[in-house]
Amino acid sequence: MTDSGDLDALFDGKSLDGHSIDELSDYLDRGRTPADPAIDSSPGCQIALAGLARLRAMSETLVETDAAAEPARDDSWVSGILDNIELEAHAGRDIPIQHSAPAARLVITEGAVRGLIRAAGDSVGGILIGRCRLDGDVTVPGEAIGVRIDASVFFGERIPEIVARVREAIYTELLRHTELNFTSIDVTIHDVHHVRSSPEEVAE
Amino acid sequence: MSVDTGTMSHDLTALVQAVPGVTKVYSSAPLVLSLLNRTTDLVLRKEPTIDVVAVTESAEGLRIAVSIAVDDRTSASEACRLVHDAIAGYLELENAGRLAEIAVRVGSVG
Repeated sequence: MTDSGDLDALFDGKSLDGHSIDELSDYLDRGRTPADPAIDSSPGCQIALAGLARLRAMSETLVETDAAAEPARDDSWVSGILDNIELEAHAGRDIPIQHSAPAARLVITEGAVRGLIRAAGDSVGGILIGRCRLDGDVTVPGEAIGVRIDASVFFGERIPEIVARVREAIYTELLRHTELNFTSIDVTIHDVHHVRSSPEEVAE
Repeated sequence: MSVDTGTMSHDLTALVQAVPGVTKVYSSAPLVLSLLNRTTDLVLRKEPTIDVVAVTESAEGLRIAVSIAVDDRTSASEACRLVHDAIAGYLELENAGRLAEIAVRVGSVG
Protein backbone atom coordinates (compact mmCIF):
# COMPACT_ATOMS: atom_id res chain seq x y z
CA MET A 1 0.00 0.00 0.00
CA THR A 2 1.16 3.52 -0.72
CA ASP A 3 0.42 6.80 0.92
CA SER A 4 -2.79 7.86 -0.75
CA GLY A 5 -3.53 11.11 0.99
CA ASP A 6 -3.32 13.03 -2.27
CA LEU A 7 -5.77 10.64 -3.89
CA ASP A 8 -8.24 11.25 -1.10
CA ALA A 9 -8.29 14.87 -2.17
CA LEU A 10 -9.52 13.79 -5.58
CA PHE A 11 -12.64 12.31 -4.05
CA ASP A 12 -15.17 14.69 -2.57
CA GLY A 13 -15.31 13.84 1.11
CA LYS A 14 -18.34 16.09 1.64
CA SER A 15 -20.35 13.59 -0.42
CA LEU A 16 -23.53 15.68 -0.75
CA ASP A 17 -21.49 18.34 -2.52
CA GLY A 18 -23.10 21.16 -0.63
CA HIS A 19 -26.68 20.20 -1.50
CA SER A 20 -29.30 20.05 1.23
CA ILE A 21 -32.06 17.48 1.48
CA ASP A 22 -34.55 20.26 0.63
CA GLU A 23 -32.73 21.00 -2.62
CA LEU A 24 -32.74 17.33 -3.50
CA SER A 25 -36.43 17.12 -2.66
CA ASP A 26 -37.13 20.03 -5.04
CA TYR A 27 -35.04 18.32 -7.71
CA LEU A 28 -37.17 15.20 -7.30
CA ASP A 29 -40.32 17.34 -7.55
CA ARG A 30 -39.10 18.67 -10.90
CA GLY A 31 -38.58 15.17 -12.22
CA ARG A 32 -34.81 15.72 -12.09
CA THR A 33 -35.10 18.23 -14.93
CA PRO A 34 -33.30 20.21 -16.02
CA ALA A 35 -30.48 17.83 -15.21
CA ASP A 36 -28.13 19.17 -12.56
CA PRO A 37 -24.62 17.80 -13.20
CA ALA A 38 -23.53 18.64 -9.66
CA ILE A 39 -26.28 16.47 -8.22
CA ASP A 40 -26.11 13.75 -10.84
CA SER A 41 -22.36 13.34 -10.38
CA SER A 42 -22.51 13.10 -6.60
CA PRO A 43 -22.76 9.60 -5.07
CA GLY A 44 -24.14 11.07 -1.85
CA CYS A 45 -26.87 12.94 -3.70
CA GLN A 46 -27.81 9.80 -5.63
CA ILE A 47 -28.10 7.76 -2.41
CA ALA A 48 -30.19 10.48 -0.78
CA LEU A 49 -32.44 10.84 -3.84
CA ALA A 50 -33.11 7.08 -3.88
CA GLY A 51 -34.01 7.15 -0.20
CA LEU A 52 -36.23 10.20 -0.69
CA ALA A 53 -38.11 8.60 -3.58
CA ARG A 54 -38.81 5.44 -1.57
CA LEU A 55 -39.89 7.43 1.49
CA ARG A 56 -42.33 9.45 -0.61
CA ALA A 57 -43.84 6.36 -2.16
CA MET A 58 -44.28 4.66 1.21
CA SER A 59 -45.44 7.62 3.25
CA GLU A 60 -48.00 8.96 0.79
CA THR A 61 -50.80 6.78 2.12
CA LEU A 62 -49.83 7.43 5.72
CA VAL A 63 -49.80 11.20 5.33
CA GLU A 64 -53.15 11.20 3.52
CA THR A 65 -54.68 9.07 6.22
CA ASP A 66 -53.28 11.18 9.01
CA ALA A 67 -54.51 14.34 7.32
CA ALA A 68 -58.05 12.98 7.23
CA ALA A 69 -58.07 11.57 10.72
CA GLU A 70 -55.95 13.93 12.75
CA PRO A 71 -56.16 17.69 12.18
CA ALA A 72 -53.08 18.36 14.27
CA ARG A 73 -50.92 15.60 12.86
CA ASP A 74 -47.30 15.37 13.82
CA ASP A 75 -44.87 15.33 10.88
CA SER A 76 -41.76 15.11 13.02
CA TRP A 77 -41.22 11.46 12.14
CA VAL A 78 -40.98 12.39 8.45
CA SER A 79 -38.48 15.16 9.09
CA GLY A 80 -36.54 12.80 11.33
CA ILE A 81 -36.22 10.26 8.51
CA LEU A 82 -35.26 13.01 6.06
CA ASP A 83 -32.52 14.17 8.42
CA ASN A 84 -31.23 10.62 8.68
CA ILE A 85 -31.30 10.07 4.91
CA GLU A 86 -29.16 13.18 4.51
CA LEU A 87 -26.78 12.18 7.30
CA GLU A 88 -26.38 8.58 6.15
CA ALA A 89 -25.78 9.50 2.49
CA HIS A 90 -22.45 11.09 3.38
CA ALA A 91 -19.55 8.96 2.23
CA GLY A 92 -18.24 8.32 5.74
CA ARG A 93 -15.52 5.75 6.27
CA ASP A 94 -13.84 3.76 3.52
CA ILE A 95 -14.57 0.05 3.87
CA PRO A 96 -11.82 -2.08 2.31
CA ILE A 97 -12.38 -4.65 -0.42
CA GLN A 98 -9.63 -7.25 -0.68
CA HIS A 99 -7.41 -7.70 -3.72
CA SER A 100 -4.13 -9.56 -4.07
CA ALA A 101 -2.43 -6.81 -6.13
CA PRO A 102 -0.13 -4.71 -3.91
CA ALA A 103 -1.05 -1.44 -5.66
CA ALA A 104 -4.79 -2.02 -5.32
CA ARG A 105 -6.76 0.23 -3.02
CA LEU A 106 -10.37 -0.89 -3.33
CA VAL A 107 -13.12 0.43 -1.08
CA ILE A 108 -16.85 0.82 -0.76
CA THR A 109 -18.00 3.86 1.17
CA GLU A 110 -19.90 3.59 4.41
CA GLY A 111 -22.54 5.81 2.81
CA ALA A 112 -23.05 3.29 0.01
CA VAL A 113 -23.43 0.47 2.55
CA ARG A 114 -25.91 2.47 4.65
CA GLY A 115 -27.79 3.23 1.44
CA LEU A 116 -28.13 -0.42 0.52
CA ILE A 117 -29.17 -1.32 4.08
CA ARG A 118 -31.94 1.30 3.91
CA ALA A 119 -33.00 0.09 0.46
CA ALA A 120 -33.11 -3.53 1.61
CA GLY A 121 -35.20 -2.62 4.65
CA ASP A 122 -37.61 -0.48 2.65
CA SER A 123 -38.00 -3.27 0.07
CA VAL A 124 -39.72 -5.49 2.62
CA GLY A 125 -42.80 -3.23 2.77
CA GLY A 126 -44.89 -2.37 5.81
CA ILE A 127 -41.92 -0.86 7.60
CA LEU A 128 -40.12 2.47 7.41
CA ILE A 129 -36.42 2.56 8.17
CA GLY A 130 -35.76 5.57 10.36
CA ARG A 131 -32.06 5.31 11.03
CA CYS A 132 -29.26 2.83 10.42
CA ARG A 133 -25.82 2.69 11.94
CA LEU A 134 -22.76 0.51 11.56
CA ASP A 135 -21.07 -0.24 14.87
CA GLY A 136 -17.41 -1.29 14.95
CA ASP A 137 -14.32 -0.38 12.98
CA VAL A 138 -15.39 -1.03 9.39
CA THR A 139 -11.95 0.01 8.12
CA VAL A 140 -10.34 -3.12 9.58
CA PRO A 141 -10.95 -6.34 7.60
CA GLY A 142 -12.52 -9.11 9.69
CA GLU A 143 -13.56 -6.82 12.53
CA ALA A 144 -16.92 -7.70 14.12
CA ILE A 145 -19.54 -5.25 12.84
CA GLY A 146 -23.03 -4.68 14.15
CA VAL A 147 -25.94 -3.07 12.32
CA ARG A 148 -28.44 -1.07 14.32
CA ILE A 149 -31.75 -0.13 12.74
CA ASP A 150 -34.44 2.14 14.15
CA ALA A 151 -37.74 1.71 12.33
CA SER A 152 -41.49 2.12 12.49
CA VAL A 153 -44.12 -0.29 11.21
CA PHE A 154 -47.52 0.06 9.59
CA PHE A 155 -50.48 -0.79 11.78
CA GLY A 156 -51.50 -4.43 11.42
CA GLU A 157 -48.05 -5.80 10.71
CA ARG A 158 -46.82 -8.57 12.97
CA ILE A 159 -43.70 -7.01 14.40
CA PRO A 160 -41.63 -10.16 15.05
CA GLU A 161 -42.31 -11.42 11.52
CA ILE A 162 -41.58 -8.17 9.73
CA VAL A 163 -38.42 -7.64 11.76
CA ALA A 164 -37.25 -11.13 10.78
CA ARG A 165 -37.90 -10.35 7.11
CA VAL A 166 -36.02 -7.05 7.36
CA ARG A 167 -33.04 -8.70 9.01
CA GLU A 168 -32.93 -11.38 6.34
CA ALA A 169 -33.20 -8.84 3.49
CA ILE A 170 -30.45 -6.68 4.96
CA TYR A 171 -28.15 -9.62 5.68
CA THR A 172 -28.58 -10.95 2.14
CA GLU A 173 -27.64 -7.59 0.61
CA LEU A 174 -24.69 -7.06 2.92
CA LEU A 175 -23.31 -10.51 2.11
CA ARG A 176 -23.73 -9.88 -1.61
CA HIS A 177 -22.03 -6.49 -1.71
CA THR A 178 -19.52 -6.29 1.13
CA GLU A 179 -16.82 -8.32 2.83
CA LEU A 180 -17.63 -7.11 6.31
CA ASN A 181 -17.97 -9.56 9.19
CA PHE A 182 -21.49 -8.85 10.41
CA THR A 183 -22.18 -10.33 13.82
CA SER A 184 -25.53 -8.74 14.58
CA ILE A 185 -28.43 -6.87 13.01
CA ASP A 186 -30.53 -5.25 15.72
CA VAL A 187 -33.88 -3.74 14.73
CA THR A 188 -35.76 -1.52 17.16
CA ILE A 189 -39.36 -0.57 16.38
CA HIS A 190 -40.14 2.87 17.73
CA ASP A 191 -43.57 3.64 16.31
CA VAL A 192 -46.66 2.29 14.58
CA HIS A 193 -48.30 4.20 11.72
CA HIS A 194 -51.96 3.88 10.83
CA VAL A 195 -52.61 3.11 7.19
CA ARG A 196 -55.66 3.48 5.03
CA SER A 197 -57.18 0.07 4.42
CA SER A 198 -59.71 1.30 1.86
CA PRO A 199 -60.73 4.59 0.20
CA GLU A 200 -64.06 4.51 2.06
CA GLU A 201 -62.28 4.56 5.39
CA VAL A 202 -60.71 7.92 4.61
CA ALA A 203 -63.95 9.34 3.22
CA GLU A 204 -65.82 8.64 6.45
CA MET B 1 8.54 7.63 -18.20
CA SER B 2 5.94 10.24 -19.09
CA VAL B 3 2.45 9.29 -20.24
CA ASP B 4 -0.35 11.19 -21.93
CA THR B 5 -2.63 11.36 -18.91
CA GLY B 6 -5.47 12.96 -20.90
CA THR B 7 -5.65 10.15 -23.44
CA MET B 8 -5.25 7.58 -20.72
CA SER B 9 -8.08 9.10 -18.67
CA HIS B 10 -10.31 9.11 -21.75
CA ASP B 11 -9.53 5.46 -22.54
CA LEU B 12 -9.94 4.33 -18.93
CA THR B 13 -13.26 6.15 -18.56
CA ALA B 14 -14.66 4.23 -21.54
CA LEU B 15 -13.13 1.00 -20.22
CA VAL B 16 -14.61 1.35 -16.72
CA GLN B 17 -18.03 2.30 -18.06
CA ALA B 18 -18.07 -1.01 -19.95
CA VAL B 19 -17.36 -3.20 -16.90
CA PRO B 20 -20.39 -5.38 -16.06
CA GLY B 21 -22.33 -4.03 -13.08
CA VAL B 22 -20.98 -0.48 -13.36
CA THR B 23 -23.88 1.92 -13.92
CA LYS B 24 -22.06 5.22 -13.55
CA VAL B 25 -18.55 6.57 -13.29
CA TYR B 26 -18.46 9.54 -10.97
CA SER B 27 -16.10 12.40 -11.57
CA SER B 28 -12.91 12.16 -9.59
CA ALA B 29 -11.80 15.57 -10.83
CA PRO B 30 -12.65 18.70 -8.85
CA LEU B 31 -16.32 19.54 -9.40
CA VAL B 32 -15.61 23.06 -10.67
CA LEU B 33 -13.35 21.69 -13.39
CA SER B 34 -15.97 19.12 -14.42
CA LEU B 35 -18.66 21.79 -14.67
CA LEU B 36 -16.34 24.05 -16.65
CA ASN B 37 -15.65 21.25 -19.14
CA ARG B 38 -19.36 20.51 -19.36
CA THR B 39 -20.16 24.18 -20.00
CA THR B 40 -17.51 24.35 -22.71
CA ASP B 41 -19.02 21.28 -24.36
CA LEU B 42 -22.46 22.90 -24.30
CA VAL B 43 -21.19 26.19 -25.75
CA LEU B 44 -19.34 24.35 -28.50
CA ARG B 45 -22.40 22.09 -29.01
CA LYS B 46 -20.26 19.04 -28.46
CA GLU B 47 -21.17 15.76 -26.87
CA PRO B 48 -20.07 15.72 -23.22
CA THR B 49 -16.40 14.80 -23.04
CA ILE B 50 -15.76 14.67 -19.34
CA ASP B 51 -13.17 12.04 -18.56
CA VAL B 52 -13.86 10.97 -15.04
CA VAL B 53 -11.02 8.61 -14.25
CA ALA B 54 -8.23 10.55 -12.56
CA VAL B 55 -4.75 9.79 -13.86
CA THR B 56 -1.82 11.47 -12.11
CA GLU B 57 1.92 10.97 -12.13
CA SER B 58 3.82 11.01 -8.86
CA ALA B 59 7.33 10.26 -7.73
CA GLU B 60 6.24 6.72 -6.82
CA GLY B 61 4.65 6.14 -10.22
CA LEU B 62 1.27 6.38 -11.88
CA ARG B 63 -1.84 6.80 -9.76
CA ILE B 64 -5.29 5.98 -11.05
CA ALA B 65 -8.46 6.87 -9.14
CA VAL B 66 -12.07 6.19 -10.03
CA SER B 67 -15.38 6.29 -8.19
CA ILE B 68 -18.24 4.14 -9.46
CA ALA B 69 -21.90 3.28 -8.98
CA VAL B 70 -22.84 -0.39 -9.12
CA ASP B 71 -26.23 -1.94 -9.85
CA ASP B 72 -27.83 -3.86 -7.01
CA ARG B 73 -27.84 -7.19 -8.88
CA THR B 74 -24.06 -7.29 -9.11
CA SER B 75 -21.78 -7.78 -6.12
CA ALA B 76 -20.23 -4.39 -5.44
CA SER B 77 -17.02 -6.07 -4.24
CA GLU B 78 -16.78 -8.14 -7.39
CA ALA B 79 -17.51 -5.17 -9.68
CA CYS B 80 -14.83 -3.19 -7.84
CA ARG B 81 -12.25 -5.93 -8.46
CA LEU B 82 -13.28 -6.21 -12.10
CA VAL B 83 -12.75 -2.46 -12.55
CA HIS B 84 -9.31 -2.73 -10.97
CA ASP B 85 -8.37 -5.67 -13.18
CA ALA B 86 -9.60 -3.89 -16.31
CA ILE B 87 -7.47 -0.85 -15.47
CA ALA B 88 -4.45 -2.99 -14.60
CA GLY B 89 -4.82 -4.89 -17.88
CA TYR B 90 -4.96 -1.66 -19.85
CA LEU B 91 -1.86 -0.27 -18.13
CA GLU B 92 0.06 -3.47 -18.81
CA LEU B 93 -0.98 -3.43 -22.44
CA GLU B 94 0.05 0.20 -22.79
CA ASN B 95 3.32 -0.45 -21.04
CA ALA B 96 2.52 2.51 -18.83
CA GLY B 97 5.51 2.13 -16.55
CA ARG B 98 5.74 2.12 -12.78
CA LEU B 99 2.42 1.89 -10.98
CA ALA B 100 1.90 3.45 -7.55
CA GLU B 101 -1.77 2.80 -7.02
CA ILE B 102 -5.10 1.88 -8.57
CA ALA B 103 -7.84 3.25 -6.31
CA VAL B 104 -11.41 2.15 -6.99
CA ARG B 105 -14.20 3.43 -4.78
CA VAL B 106 -17.79 2.20 -4.86
CA GLY B 107 -19.77 5.36 -4.11
CA SER B 108 -23.30 4.00 -4.44
CA VAL B 109 -25.15 0.75 -5.04
CA GLY B 110 -28.48 0.39 -6.84
